[in-house]
Amino acid sequence: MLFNSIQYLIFLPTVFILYWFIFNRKLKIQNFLLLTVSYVFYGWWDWRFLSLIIFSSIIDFYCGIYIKKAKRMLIKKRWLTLSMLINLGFLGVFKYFNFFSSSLENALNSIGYQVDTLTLNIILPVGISFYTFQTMSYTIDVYRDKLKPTKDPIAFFAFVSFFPQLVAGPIERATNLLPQFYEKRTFDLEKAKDGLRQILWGLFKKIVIADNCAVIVNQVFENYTEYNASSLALGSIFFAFQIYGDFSGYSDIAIGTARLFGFNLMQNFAFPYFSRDIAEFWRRWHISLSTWFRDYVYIPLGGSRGSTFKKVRNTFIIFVVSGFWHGANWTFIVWGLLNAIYFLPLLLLNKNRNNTDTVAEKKVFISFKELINVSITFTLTIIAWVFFRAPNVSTAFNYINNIFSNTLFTMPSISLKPLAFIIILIVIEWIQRHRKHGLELDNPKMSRPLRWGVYYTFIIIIFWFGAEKQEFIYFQF
Amino acid sequence: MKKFIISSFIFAFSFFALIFIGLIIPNNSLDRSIDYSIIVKHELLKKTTSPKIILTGGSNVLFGFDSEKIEDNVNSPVINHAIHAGYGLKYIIDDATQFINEGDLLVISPEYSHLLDKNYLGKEPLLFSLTAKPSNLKLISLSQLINVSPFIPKFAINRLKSFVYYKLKTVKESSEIGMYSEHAINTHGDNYQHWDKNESNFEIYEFSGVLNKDVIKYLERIKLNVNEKGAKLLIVYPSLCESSYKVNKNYIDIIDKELNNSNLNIVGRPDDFIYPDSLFFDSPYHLKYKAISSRSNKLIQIINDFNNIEK
Repeated sequence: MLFNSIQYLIFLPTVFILYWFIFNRKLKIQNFLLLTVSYVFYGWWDWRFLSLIIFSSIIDFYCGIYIKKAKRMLIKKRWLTLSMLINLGFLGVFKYFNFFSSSLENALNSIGYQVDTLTLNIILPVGISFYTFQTMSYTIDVYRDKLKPTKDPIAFFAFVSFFPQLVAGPIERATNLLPQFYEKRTFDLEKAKDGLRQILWGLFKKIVIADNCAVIVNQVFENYTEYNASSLALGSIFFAFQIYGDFSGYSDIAIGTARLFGFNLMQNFAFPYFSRDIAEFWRRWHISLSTWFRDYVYIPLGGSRGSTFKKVRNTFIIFVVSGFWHGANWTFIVWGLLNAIYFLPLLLLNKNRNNTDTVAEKKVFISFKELINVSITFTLTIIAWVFFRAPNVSTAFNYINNIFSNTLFTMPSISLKPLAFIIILIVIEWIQRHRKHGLELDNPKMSRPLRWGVYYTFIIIIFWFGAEKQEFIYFQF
Repeated sequence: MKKFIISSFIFAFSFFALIFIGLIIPNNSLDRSIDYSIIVKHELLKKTTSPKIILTGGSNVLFGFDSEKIEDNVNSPVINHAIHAGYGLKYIIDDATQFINEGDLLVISPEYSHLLDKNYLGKEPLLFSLTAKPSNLKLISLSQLINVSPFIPKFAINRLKSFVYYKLKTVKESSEIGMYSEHAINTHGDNYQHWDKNESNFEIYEFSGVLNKDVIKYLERIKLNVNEKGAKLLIVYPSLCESSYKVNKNYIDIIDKELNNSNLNIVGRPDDFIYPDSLFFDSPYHLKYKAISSRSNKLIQIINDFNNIEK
């Protein structure tokens, strides 16, 4: 079920009423309702793949218990390995099998061995990368003694499949989300109102920004040889805003929805395009995934401690793995590598934590130096996004090569319509950059007619200017 | 909680009220769209005595026949009932069959896209038709309503915008009839505004989606209903430009095979109505007069052959 669909418009209020008015007597029953509706939400797309989530949940539920029960480290490790093998095995089969198979075939063919490797006709289950990472965080944290294993299967299954963030994150840590299933939730008016505002902001980013950009981006990337350099440059900028609007919009709707049910999910995006360097960008972009890799891959590898070689190695590993997480294609690996290359100078010069505050802190306007830094970071990001969007690496190189041609300063031949929406987005996010989302209001003096006027304006903009419905990009990851 | 529910309800209610007003507000534009030609077409269908021939489908029919020429050669009155493919095949046919009487012949030329996905249930243009002919709401099923519901808010807001625009701005009535105007049709229902035009300006497009077998079942049901009324139903292929045909040949072959395996009266082959791109006007479906004349001749032949067999 898509967040931007009529079905969800009916689903959400129905679940809300059932949750707070009918199933509100006992926590277990409320959790059971969440579990059921989460399975309905997921099954709406393809009920067959529910079996994967259920199987994964069963394995990790028992692995957690047996890790805790085991007296010897070796036994604990075996249970953890079992959990990792099954979760990563699912990912390997459903997401990466064909990639490895065809890459092996190409490699062997290139050295003269003609082979036909097996490729499978596999459908990628929606959200598999998100929920497997979420459930892996549980067994790892239990193994590390950071979390007590749960004995409540309903709470655990609901944690794995919690519908607001099931298919595209934020990838929640068990330490944050699971305990919220143990405690009685009470309705908080302010939290619910802010949740609705965040949903509205997410819908604006998805339907107005991302979907309008998508129309142009698809045209430009599919026929890039037919466009002049300025159109290609603009097309890549539009893609930067498409992916931001699409993914952060989804996260906003997910977080807002969870708040309606009394849950707090982690912030997943913190105005990343205002970053002054790549390190800051990665602290603000897809925060739940970046911190997941930091805690479960980077730090265990030694992080930024140790020799220069180790630092460089760990940085490359983390970014390449992150790229590969996004999809089984060399384009994502190159995207990861590029980001590692961007990040490396900051790490080696010990400047990767230079910008931990917000840009133009306590000021209205950005300084010239900050503007230059933000512009450079944004440009570097856009170059990397070209690899992310292109169907293959050679197309990405050709696309970038074509940007740097003598038509860069001519008029673009594509529609400039999304620019107006992007400017609105930038202005609002600039004003709101100290807050959690673009529509967070904490001014008690703001009257109801004014507030409602703002909401109506956004709703009308969404319906008036919203482009044809597109799937969320991150569904494919 | 109570405060939240009440506020949310008031907010949602006021929004839905705005949408409702947008839907029922009168169209105060001086030059109404071709969707409003449904009013005249209904009148034509009502006053034409049976046995008559009703041509229907999407705009490939509206822009694709010279009904007077057909009428002169088949000895039956001919009415072109078609307006827009976006209404969905179900609505188009349900609307046409209201006027079917004993002895009539219903000739349907669906667009290929009508047989893919849920396109036969209609899209945004269906809302335009319903505002032009509100009494046709009775023809709308729940599945059609669900299919068009995502378009309703934007459609209603656009109507409000248009209403305010025409209220505030003084627009002079033009003596020229626009191509997509309510008055762009002749006394048989054909759009004839482009008959003397020579330029071609359109882009070919690729079909997408999967064949929907429910459409075939629906057409088979309609055939039975039409036959029960003592009338006949005939399906012919739509006109399409050559380049569009080449790009979409796989789709067309699948549709052709499925239609021919059904119990429907399919006459001719898809390539019977394929014409060079230069004979199309502003869409891969909209013919210029030279091709209209050729297509009308082919239909005359089809109808005469069909009538001879039936006799």
